[in-house]
Amino acid sequence: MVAIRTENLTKIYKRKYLFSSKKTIALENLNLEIEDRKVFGLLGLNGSGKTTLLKLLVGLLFPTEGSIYIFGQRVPHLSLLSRVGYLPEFPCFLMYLSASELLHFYGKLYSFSLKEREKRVEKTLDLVDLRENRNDRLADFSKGMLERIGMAQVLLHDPELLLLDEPTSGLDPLGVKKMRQTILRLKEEGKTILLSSHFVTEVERVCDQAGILHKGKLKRVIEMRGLEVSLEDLFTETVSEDVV
Amino acid sequence: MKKIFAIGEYTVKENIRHKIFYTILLFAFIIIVSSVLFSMLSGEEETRVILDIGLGAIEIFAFLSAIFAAVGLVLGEMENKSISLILARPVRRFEYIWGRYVGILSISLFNIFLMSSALLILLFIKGWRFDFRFLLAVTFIFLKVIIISALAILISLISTSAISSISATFFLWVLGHIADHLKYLNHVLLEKGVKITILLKTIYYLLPNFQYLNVKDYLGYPAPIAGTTIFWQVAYSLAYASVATWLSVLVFSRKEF
Repeated sequence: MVAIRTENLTKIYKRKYLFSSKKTIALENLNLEIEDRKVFGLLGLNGSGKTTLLKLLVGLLFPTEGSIYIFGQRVPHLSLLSRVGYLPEFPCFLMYLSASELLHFYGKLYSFSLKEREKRVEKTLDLVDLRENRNDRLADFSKGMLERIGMAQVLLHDPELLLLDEPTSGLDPLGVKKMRQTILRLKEEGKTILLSSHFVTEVERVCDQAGILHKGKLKRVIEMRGLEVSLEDLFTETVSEDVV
Repeated sequence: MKKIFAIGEYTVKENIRHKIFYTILLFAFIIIVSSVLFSMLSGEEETRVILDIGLGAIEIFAFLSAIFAAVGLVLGEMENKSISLILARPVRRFEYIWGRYVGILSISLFNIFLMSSALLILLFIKGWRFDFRFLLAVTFIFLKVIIISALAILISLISTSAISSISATFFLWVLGHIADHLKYLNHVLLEKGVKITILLKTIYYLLPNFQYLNVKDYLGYPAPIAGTTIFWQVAYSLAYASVATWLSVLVFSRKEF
């Protein structure tokens, strides 16, 4: 089964100034298929369109052209969002809430009952090792703890598809390792994961497939199993075709 | 509806955990209490002065509190992108806007209740005889807040910075209180041969007419307020606020984050 399918997906940002306007093509005719229960790594330089694609998938941005299907349903579709977990690159939370309050609030947005929310919040806080800090305000959290609460809000509703935008960016080596373990565990549980990253080695370690986005175009999709050359070399070769 | 109330509830939490909420309340109480000092200068009209200053303070601080909540929280959430973690869930755009609006109105109602209670206590200490129109005056202050909060949300969705949103909302608040003067202005301009009647009429009907809702001005005078007038004033406020909020929904549903 196909988890994500995009057809000729194009996103053009239009910036209007006082006497002029500027168009930036963020994604151009993107045709991508990601199989269910796979981990797909999206590699690309800054500004290659990775974040744009993830935002399009959750409906934070609207396509200029083309269409997106998640689990066979055309996006935007409200009920689909119950099956998707999204972690932005720099997640910003409601800092005046405690960890538990934040997750309860998000739980209410899925219409979970109080009993269901309590169960899920406890379980999720356990998963990210934040049970001890459940009543601490997020404003008092360290960066690493905020990253963990970021992952907690992704896992709260037990989504089938996880969209992780640079999940290891800004983490210390221990944090990177824990994030990798979490992704591998989720993979074992049969989740579909689309993650964007700058780090080729991370993608190499956890992904089944990798796609190289460059200047808004999907240049290459690579099967990780049986890959005989290094992904880093492939990536460098692909993106430098245009750079040089 | 559950999601609207969930967003409303967290708007209230966000507000009451902010220092500015308490600062606004503190200043309101200081002004209400200090009205007793001013009343001493007025001889026999003591309670009248306390009423005027007190109700004026309630209106100004309820307005400030609503503006802070509408502009500070809605625009703030869009600027710091925490909104993306809400909209990436099964939440319709209109649920977000109405949720925020319900939260802002709840906190404003709570503020008005606290400030009015303080004013009533002061008035009773000064031997004031309860006048039912006091409740009407306070209710109409809330009606003004209903309108200005809806407009503040709309403005914060259109503008790019908190300062411009606050300035524009404040500007509308002032214009809304002098909207009736546009009729006079039209009359004066016509006498001088300047014909911009259509433009002035359009502005007049688009602006919120806060003067129409100034029930507190009638307090202390014997003339009763007709029930039909109250009905139309309430209907006008609710209709104006609904249109402004649905316009916000329209703008918001096209926004990208």
